[in-house]
Amino acid sequence: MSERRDRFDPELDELFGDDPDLLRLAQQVRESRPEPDLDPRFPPVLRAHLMQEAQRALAPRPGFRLAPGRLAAWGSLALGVALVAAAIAVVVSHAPSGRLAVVASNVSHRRTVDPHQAITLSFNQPIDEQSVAAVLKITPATQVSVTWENPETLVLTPLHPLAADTDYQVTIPEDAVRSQSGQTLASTVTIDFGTQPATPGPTVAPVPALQATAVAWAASGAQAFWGPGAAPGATDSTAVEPTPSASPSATAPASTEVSSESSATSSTPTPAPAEGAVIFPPGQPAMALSEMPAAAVKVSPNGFNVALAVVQPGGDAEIVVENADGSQPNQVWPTGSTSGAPVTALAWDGDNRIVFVTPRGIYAVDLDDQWSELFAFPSGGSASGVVLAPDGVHAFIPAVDMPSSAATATASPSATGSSTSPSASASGTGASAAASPAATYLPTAADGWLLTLPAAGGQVATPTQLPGSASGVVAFSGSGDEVAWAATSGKASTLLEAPTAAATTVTAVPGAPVEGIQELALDAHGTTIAYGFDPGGIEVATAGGSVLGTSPREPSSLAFSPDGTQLAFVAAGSLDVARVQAASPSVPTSACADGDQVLSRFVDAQVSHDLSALAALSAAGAPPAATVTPASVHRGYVVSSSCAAGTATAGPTLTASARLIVDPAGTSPGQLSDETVVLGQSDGRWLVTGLSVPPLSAQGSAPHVLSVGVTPPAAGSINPETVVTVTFDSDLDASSVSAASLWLETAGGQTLSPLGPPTYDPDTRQAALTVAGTLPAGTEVVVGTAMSDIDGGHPPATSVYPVGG
Amino acid sequence: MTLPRAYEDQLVERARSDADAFGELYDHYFGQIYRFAYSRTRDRDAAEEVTQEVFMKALRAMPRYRPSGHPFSSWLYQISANAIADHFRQQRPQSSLDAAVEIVDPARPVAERVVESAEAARVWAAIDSLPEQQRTAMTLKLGEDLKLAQIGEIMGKSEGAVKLLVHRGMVTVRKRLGVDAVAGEAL
Repeated sequence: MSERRDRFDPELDELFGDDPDLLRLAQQVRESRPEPDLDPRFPPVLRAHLMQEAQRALAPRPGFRLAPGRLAAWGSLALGVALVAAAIAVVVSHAPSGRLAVVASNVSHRRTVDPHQAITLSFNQPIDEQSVAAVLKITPATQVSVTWENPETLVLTPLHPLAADTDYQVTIPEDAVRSQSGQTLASTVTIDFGTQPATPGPTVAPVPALQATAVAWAASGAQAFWGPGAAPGATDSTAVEPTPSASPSATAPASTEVSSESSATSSTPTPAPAEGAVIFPPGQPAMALSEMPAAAVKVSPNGFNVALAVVQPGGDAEIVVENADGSQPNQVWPTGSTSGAPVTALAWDGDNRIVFVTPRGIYAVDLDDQWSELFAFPSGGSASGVVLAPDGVHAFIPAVDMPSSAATATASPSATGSSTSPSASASGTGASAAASPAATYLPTAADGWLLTLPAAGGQVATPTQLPGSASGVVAFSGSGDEVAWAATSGKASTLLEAPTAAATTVTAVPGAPVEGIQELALDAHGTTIAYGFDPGGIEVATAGGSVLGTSPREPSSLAFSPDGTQLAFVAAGSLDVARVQAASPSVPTSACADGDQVLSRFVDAQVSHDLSALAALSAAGAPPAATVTPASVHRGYVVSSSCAAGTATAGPTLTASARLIVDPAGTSPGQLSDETVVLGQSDGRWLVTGLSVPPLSAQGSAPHVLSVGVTPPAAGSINPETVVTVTFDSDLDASSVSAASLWLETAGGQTLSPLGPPTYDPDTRQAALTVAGTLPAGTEVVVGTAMSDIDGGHPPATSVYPVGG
Repeated sequence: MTLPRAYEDQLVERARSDADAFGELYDHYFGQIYRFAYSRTRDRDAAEEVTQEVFMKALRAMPRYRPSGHPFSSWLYQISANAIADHFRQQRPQSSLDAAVEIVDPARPVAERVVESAEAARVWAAIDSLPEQQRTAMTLKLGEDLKLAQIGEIMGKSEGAVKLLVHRGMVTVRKRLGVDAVAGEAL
């Protein structure tokens, strides 16, 4: 583990350049880093333990792989030589006594061979170099140079980098090689391997990082909230790690990014820590709302008042209402006639009434201290999982807190185990077309309920059970009109949502993460969603699945600002605020941008055979993806896609060709199927509406299309041109790339006239067609059987790939 | 040694479902993570405990890991920083620097004294006494040689904020070693 640290670190100069003594000290501190005391037995023991755990934890999910044609970066990688040297040689055959045999290859059975890597074949005897015949073959057709590393080791170096994410087979006929003693192979030897997927290229926008600013210390159990004037706050800002010489200041201004950081050397006197609920108006001193921590803080809709559930010694809480500036605190509950209780949540119902949750039930109290019971929990409930909507009108009630009398009154399918879909429950609110996927989600007795709270004490409206909500990960939109929850099944999660006014109209959020959701927050209307994972950090995404930003911070509380432009969160003892970027205008977006992401997730789900995800991503009436997708698929990627913009009466449509691949194994040859996937929008969400999966067929030795790309005309171009690029897995016979083997057709079957014959670049294995103007909607690129690789292989049939849109 | 980025990306992708690939990641990053854990805890048992927790958490989260454009190691360091913070929360009250402040020759510049091993231990003990975030930033910069930008990614801060943390931390270390110890003050 020891290593010399004599490399110069230029960043130290940048940090301490203005203070030579400090720079020298920093350099010497760096050089004096203590070497760790390591028990040599520990690494292998932990590794063995991890490997045992990994066999259980890592399901066989090869994962979606990006289409190699979208990716251009790997061509510049300089991995090859080093990896050849480091590669493990795998024994591929044994020789009958005295016979020549290939005993090892650096690629045999490996599925992640670097495309730049040379292939070595080691024999058990010195080879007569003159005997190597040209019949030695690589499939897909690949030109190689043949050299010798030593008399026993043959090196095949591809003239062009191998295709990414492709299965290869090296075939050595029995008479292709002869040893110096005249021996030949006992039989034909084949070596199969696969190459790595390509590196994401520039067309794939990187997920932006959430730029978070630490605002203040926050206790680990604190809740983030937004105070008056869009000022972030924490319900318990007690310093979590006091230092001997100074205490961190919860009242530090939020204007610097390290305002949460205690510094014993600060020349500014540090105020005593403010404990309790504190808000941090930007650019102004922090404002303490209470001396004790609060369980919850909410601002009234008119912004004039703040309500706090201030936790008292012993755990009971007082509901206190203050002016927006923290002045004139007034305790409104408990009143003289009631005893106190812990409060787990509160919300404003209008500007004069506060709804709050205690272990006994849900109550309301107005600013005149008049209170009423809205809903009583059964004895034994905890109320800890109750979630109040910000408008105080709805609440999520865990199953344990739902009285059986109320539950059975709903005629919900959950209570009886009926197979009736949620959308068919007795509330009669009606299921829209968009809700059709909800038929997949049936509630169980463990799932919680959505309750509409009565305006005053009295009859409670029939609650609706939220299928899959047993996880308890539930959030309401800021307006209270949407509720979302993570429906879990084993490790997998599906994010479902429903309007609170029609909770049986359940829909799946198509772009949501599929597992590990621990925290959830919605913006005002549920169009932007923040997810918290542990471990895994934060992801902010649109309801359509576009990821707006991520952070490695692991939050215990998430809260959107009222306008949805900021996200406050508590993580690792700090209240942080991140600006939520809208979908970047600099990234070219098409009408199908979100559809592309859903398509990726769909293919990913096909590869992993994630049945719940396939169901969530499929529209009602679509072919059953789980049934028509071969179960044995190892890999998959999108070859091409085209987007048809929507019209006044119909939304956009995305049509794609995707390849599903079964890798060769042992004597089983590799197989593939090029499927057609059609996606459309329903209620603003992309779902798969059409799917056609041909039967798997042998990969064979014909050239295959790996990807199809379209470069639209440059903006403002005088002579606008569109270039269609087709990338193959095989080295092509350049003379076969012609108008007879590659052309463009309109939806009506008309051939588009290109500006010239197709071109071919052997370095990239790309053939290109250029046409004037833009491609008409529905255009397809056609690869005919006249196309030929260098070994004379032809595609068995004409193939078409959508490109126009 | 740093893995080539493209290779690491492929390895991480495979590790979402392939135990062997995860094992390769472990083989590559064990040393860094253990060293970081040890630098912060100065205790073999604690470093082992933290390292085990880091890799177990990473293993469980691999299927949903999404590359952020930063090295995979940033994520491991982030998990490590959280695990170390948890470790110290459970260990409170923390030891002060008092025990490390022994007889020193105040006439010699601090930087000169650092090269001696006892002094080196003292300096790192001074770093241990810094506030959590300064300590993390200092250890990642001076102990792990990470770039400021990567430290920012790990800590969820801007590069500028990390600079300030390291600078403040270094000033505090100098002050404590060069001034406080001489004056015999408890640090």
